[in-house]
Amino acid sequence: MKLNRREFLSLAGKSAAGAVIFAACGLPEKELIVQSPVEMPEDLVKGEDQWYATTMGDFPGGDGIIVRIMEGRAKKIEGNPDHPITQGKSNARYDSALQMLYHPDRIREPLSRYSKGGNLNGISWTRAIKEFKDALNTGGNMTLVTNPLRGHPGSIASKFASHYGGVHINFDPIEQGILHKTVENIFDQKSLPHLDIGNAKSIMSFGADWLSTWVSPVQYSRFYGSFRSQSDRGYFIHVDPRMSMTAANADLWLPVKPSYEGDLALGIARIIVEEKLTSEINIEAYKKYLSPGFLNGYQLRDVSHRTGLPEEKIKKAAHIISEKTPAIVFGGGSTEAHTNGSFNLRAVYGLNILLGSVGVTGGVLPNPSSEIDDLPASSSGASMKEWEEELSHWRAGNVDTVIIRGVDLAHGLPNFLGIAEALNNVKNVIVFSTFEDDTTELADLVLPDSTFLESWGTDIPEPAPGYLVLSVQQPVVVSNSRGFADVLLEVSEEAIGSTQENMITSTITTLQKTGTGSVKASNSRLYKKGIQQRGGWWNTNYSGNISGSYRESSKTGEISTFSKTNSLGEGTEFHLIPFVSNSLLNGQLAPTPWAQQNPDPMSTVAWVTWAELNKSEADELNIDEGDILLIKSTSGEIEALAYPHPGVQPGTICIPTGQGNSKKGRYAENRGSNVFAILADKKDSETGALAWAATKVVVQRSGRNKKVAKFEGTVEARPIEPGVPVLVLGSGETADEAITANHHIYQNQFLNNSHADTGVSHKDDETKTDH
Amino acid sequence: MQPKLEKKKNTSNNWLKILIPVLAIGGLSVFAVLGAFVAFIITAWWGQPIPVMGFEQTFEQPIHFPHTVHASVKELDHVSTDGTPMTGLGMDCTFCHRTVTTQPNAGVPSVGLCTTCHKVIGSKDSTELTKLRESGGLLDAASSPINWKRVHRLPDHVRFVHESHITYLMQNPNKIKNSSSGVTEGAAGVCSTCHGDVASMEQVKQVEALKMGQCVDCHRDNGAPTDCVVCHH
Amino acid sequence: MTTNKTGKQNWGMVVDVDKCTGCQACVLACQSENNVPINTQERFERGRAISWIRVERYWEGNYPDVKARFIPIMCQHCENAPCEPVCPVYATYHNSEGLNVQVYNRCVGTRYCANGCPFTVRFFNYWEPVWPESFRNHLNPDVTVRSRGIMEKCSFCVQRIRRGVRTAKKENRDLIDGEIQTACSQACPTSALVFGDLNDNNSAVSKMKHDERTYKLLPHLNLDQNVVYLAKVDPEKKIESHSVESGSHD
Repeated sequence: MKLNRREFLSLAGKSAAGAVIFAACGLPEKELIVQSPVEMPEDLVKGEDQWYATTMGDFPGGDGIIVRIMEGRAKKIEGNPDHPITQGKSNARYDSALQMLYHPDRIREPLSRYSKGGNLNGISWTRAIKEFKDALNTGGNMTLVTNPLRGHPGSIASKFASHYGGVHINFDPIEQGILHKTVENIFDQKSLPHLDIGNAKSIMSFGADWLSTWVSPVQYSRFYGSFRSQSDRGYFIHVDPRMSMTAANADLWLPVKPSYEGDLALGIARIIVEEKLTSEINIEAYKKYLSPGFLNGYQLRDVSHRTGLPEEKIKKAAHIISEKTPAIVFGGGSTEAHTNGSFNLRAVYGLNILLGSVGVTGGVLPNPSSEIDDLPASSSGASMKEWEEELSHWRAGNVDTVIIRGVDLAHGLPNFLGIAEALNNVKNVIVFSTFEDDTTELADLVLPDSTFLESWGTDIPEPAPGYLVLSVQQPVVVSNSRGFADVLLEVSEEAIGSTQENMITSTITTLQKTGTGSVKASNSRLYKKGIQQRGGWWNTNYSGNISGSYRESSKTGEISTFSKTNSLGEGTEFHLIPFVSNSLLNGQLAPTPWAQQNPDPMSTVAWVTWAELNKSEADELNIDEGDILLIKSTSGEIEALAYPHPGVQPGTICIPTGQGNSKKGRYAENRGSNVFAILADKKDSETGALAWAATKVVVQRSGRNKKVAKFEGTVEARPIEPGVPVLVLGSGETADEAITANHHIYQNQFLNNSHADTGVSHKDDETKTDH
Repeated sequence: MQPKLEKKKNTSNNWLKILIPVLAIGGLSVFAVLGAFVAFIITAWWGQPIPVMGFEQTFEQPIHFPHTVHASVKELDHVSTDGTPMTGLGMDCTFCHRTVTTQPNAGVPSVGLCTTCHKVIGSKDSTELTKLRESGGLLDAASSPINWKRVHRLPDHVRFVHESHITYLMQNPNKIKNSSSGVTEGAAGVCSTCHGDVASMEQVKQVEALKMGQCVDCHRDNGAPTDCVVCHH
Repeated sequence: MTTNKTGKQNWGMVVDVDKCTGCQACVLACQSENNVPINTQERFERGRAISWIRVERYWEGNYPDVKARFIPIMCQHCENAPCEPVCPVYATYHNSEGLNVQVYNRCVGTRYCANGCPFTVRFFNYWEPVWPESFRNHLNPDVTVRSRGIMEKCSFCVQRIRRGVRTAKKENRDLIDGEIQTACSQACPTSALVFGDLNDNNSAVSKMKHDERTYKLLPHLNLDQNVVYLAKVDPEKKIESHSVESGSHD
């Protein structure tokens, strides 16, 4: 009998030996079960995937997404191709939200604590609602703390707070209040303006990590793609003490000394004014509200000295942004996080007036403030000054009930505020949370909060893309969890509205009456369906006005100050610059393993907290990668693994946010350190916002060392030519020319040197090396 | 010289001491391996079909659902509660397995679909129907899904798409094999190519091994792609 | 370009390195789409993290004139793939649509292919993938979950290609350019990754691959990859004249 290979293998598979093997690793019983659902929704087709449009609620930006649902399970999140913000694109955080939804350590039931310091015990929803109502009906003062909310959840939260005579305040660990105030101050805009990066010829950004996490990264990344594909490739300058992901993409990176960003902006303004690099009209407009000698202190030589940047680079930046117009200058992030933060940002945004970029295509364009049903279209966290006031009330026992939702207050507020002690003096601390975290540890009543995939909501993206957009969020999976807004409505016994869905429906009806926008339908039911299908409503017709006026601050004597390190003992003094983690944000996504293991763009580190410092400086201090550093400030001390790299300014140490949670599920628990904790008590002199980049720290080596979990080194570097990992072309050069040139450089060195090691870049500098 | 010799003898003895058990163990294990191999071949040759992983498998289902009553066109052994003989209803497979012509999965009907008919049809006393009505929420109990046991299950590394196969066979009825009770037309005939004559099975069992060889043979005969990645990804 | 393709399509990707911001969106999108196991801390520490697509970051120069360069690397789907001939069980082969295919059920885990691959885009499953029970809900049902002991790599999201081809067939029409997107090209916020049919002269990839910035990785190996790169542009780079050395070597 002749057997071919396949027949033989199939026979072998059926043989007794095969049976034994198969029996030993038999199928789990559950895989042999097919469930027939009780009642299939009309639009659910078994076996086929459905894409539902919804919104990334609770994440900044108001991004419209589509979720792939199969058999009632969410499988994938992508950008909504219809949505004006995302247009089908996504960022490194979307899919992590799936793991929030299906996380095994989510809070499943309401938890109650009988007395402060006791244990949390599971209770029923009925009882939880009753406890909630009792707490509100005591008549004492109430404070509702949420993440910055827009749209319906924001409106409901505010109405709820005022219904009970309380206050509603937003919390954002990385404050952006100065940004909002500056924009209002200069452009007279309530919400952030539309930055038309895609049509700009040059851009100069300060501090903001806008390709990674700042404000609306997907929208801005899309613009960046267009910016780079223009026939006249746009030129991009970034000013940042740390080489962030955004700085890495800049054509010119200016590592400014922290807090001198404003000086740099004014130095550039002075060059433009002196050399008349822009039109007279623009210069007039810029100087209109300034005192005559305003720019006197910003001579190139002085600015160069203060910012630590060479004169020619500053000059070059001034020439580029004034010659390649339209140009946009914007900023945020660490630029506003100094004691002179307001001054810095004003100087930065003021440059747009000088460049004539306000209100022109490729410049700063107006955005509507909400015209929909009085829904809030803009929000930012309260300033540190306001927080201090609020916390003093809590500490004094003046507030009976504090409701916290969507923020990990105890994690995000620096140690010096003493949040734990303040909350201990509040009678009822009610926390809505999806996971147990540092704040639920201090709560008396914990209510499980649904994720954005399970609840209704709306969001008004900020910044909008130049016109009015309402993103609609709908539940895409069946779940028995309850959304925070719906619980508030239930507790208030429909004093504000019946359910969030009904409120959204009524808003949608209002929209239909306007007769404008992206959806047309004959009746209101179809209209609502249309909106749900497209993920929202938008009206591309918007003609607002925007103009700019640059005013000096009424406050005089702008100086940058930093916390002192005198009493912190031995060690090297560094300037601490926290930055928002690309995958974890400020800790919202810390519970998910996908976010934990997504390598950081610059360091490729995952799972741990690392501290970036300059490589040469680290060598001098004898600090190696993986050395555990003790980082001390006046507010406390944390540990982080050293990660030296060449893209950090000497004298600064940069630490990502998001880690250092005492809870948040099995993947985040007691992992890494929380940089927020050690921020010193420094505030912006004008707004009282926390100057979170104004902390000085003392760094010591602990003597311990740990291998850094990172992706680089996992794979070998494969340069196209020895020493050339990524082919880089000069302006007008073709790939073939560059390859030939590299080849010649290599050959030349090879022939002249016995050991050929240097090409265009140094082999030693390559970070991907074989293990 | 004598001691030297003795010494040599000793060493050779030591050698043997080690060699014998090694040889013995080695021989035994070679024998064992060979034996296992022979047993393996023999069982592979004559032992088939041994029910392995799905082949000829059937399960006791949570509800005794007779495919005969629903799908057959012949008179049945099944007797109705009043004792009269029954003929199968001759329902089309796609009436319940609705997505089979359009989607990768054939799909198990929802309980809701069952109860559309069984709200009224079928005796009140039938224990099996009572279970169904309970699941459907028609009785006092809250509705709950039914956990059917899967009879036909391909390994995880195979992606089978019903839709394209059904479409092809509908267009080429002459390619249908194993046609059930002479039916070659419609979904019933098409399905029987792989599932056998389900209409005559009171409890469904897997009659085809559904091994890759069958897939590939059929694909070759019909000019379908035999690229691995078409099914394995 | 080779034209000896028997299939109708020749799938390929163009990567515009100039637009890549290094944001890692493609990495997570790929992981979610293709059921790539969770890379635990241990996997990272032991250099065994699996990432079908990765964004490599290189440093160039020293502070303050330092530059960071990003380049996304995934399986290059070489026409002359070094990984294919070394596989003793034919678990990897080149199909008529230009894909370098990994057949999981054939793979026996010799890891020869990974050694043969000059781009290190093949990853071996040293451990059984572990998901908590509830995370199984988000696994993509279209993609096999790879068990321990087998090799895996970028498949150009072949499940999406199959789905797209099936849909087109069902609707009795040709594929439309851009209809089939890999998870990474779909996610890429700057559109640095573009996927499409290289045989279709009107497709976006075909047009892009004739750009003067086009190059392929490791050109001297003559692998004829289906992934084409467009070089990074740096206006600050000094273009050196190279006429001097022209005759100096033999």
